[in-house]
Amino acid sequence: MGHTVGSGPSSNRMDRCVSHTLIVSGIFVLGASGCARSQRLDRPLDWPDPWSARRLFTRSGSFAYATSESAANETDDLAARVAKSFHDETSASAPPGLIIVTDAGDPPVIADGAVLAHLYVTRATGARRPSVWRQRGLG
Amino acid sequence: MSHGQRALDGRRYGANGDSAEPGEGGSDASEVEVGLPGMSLERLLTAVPGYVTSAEATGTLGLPAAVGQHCPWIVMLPTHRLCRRVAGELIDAALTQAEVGILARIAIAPWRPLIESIAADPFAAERERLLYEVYILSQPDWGDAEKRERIADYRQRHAARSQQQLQMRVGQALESKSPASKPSDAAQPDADP
Repeated sequence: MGHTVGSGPSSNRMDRCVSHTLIVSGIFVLGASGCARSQRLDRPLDWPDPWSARRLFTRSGSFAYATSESAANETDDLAARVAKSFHDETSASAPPGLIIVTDAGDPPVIADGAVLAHLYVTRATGARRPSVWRQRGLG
Repeated sequence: MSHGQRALDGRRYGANGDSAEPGEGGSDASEVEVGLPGMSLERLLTAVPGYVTSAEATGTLGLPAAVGQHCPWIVMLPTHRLCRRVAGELIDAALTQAEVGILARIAIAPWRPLIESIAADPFAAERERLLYEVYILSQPDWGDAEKRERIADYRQRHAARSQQQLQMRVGQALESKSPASKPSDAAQPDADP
């Protein structure tokens, strides 16, 4: 018995079946990609935790030392957004790295302000040994 | 005990990881003023995103070498809340320096959340710039010249976009007739973006 594609009740059933299969496949693919997106990096065992009053969080695109999960999530979301934009523009992938997060009310990462300033200012300006850093043996 | 664990004790450490005397550093004479009363360079820098080399991670931050070996990049990032808080402190310092009186401060108080929000934007935008640049620098297949070129190109685009966003937000603020018409995120101090 011949079967005419595109007409009759059996064809409608087949169309519905194909549609349902496509929908289910689509949901599966989306779910799988969602799982992949949210899959977290392996937790490094030899890193200190806690460190500098911060806990270690592992996320999909970065590690974070942060005082709270929300702070870690905020910077990981930001890193993921920038990584997507980077990938869209260059076709290259952004490798995971470490984000040291400071939230309002957190202690500074570097308690000694002169050391912190030295870290930033010498790099930004090429400044050499201002008196305050000379006193600390920096610069 | 590692440098990181020692840092948890709340003590201060020098650039080479050596311990200094308790109570040294922080808000003492080491603070570098930025020309505004009550605002030190150290405080300002807490809201400035920064790149950390492996050597700095080990030597200055006291992290184990394994961290630097594991990660192609390490950055220090403020949350949006911190950007906003420091922006508020900068505004306070500027008002104090300009000797703005109490009545004028009361008059601008309703606008304060909006002003803080706009002032926090450059700090927050720097986070994106830094991340994009570390992604460029982390590409093993790109040469130094290509990385420099890509960074220069990105900086131009980023600066133009940031400028455009700033102008748009200031424009919105000037057009609004009252603080009640400000963008919703400005209504809540320390709100996340």
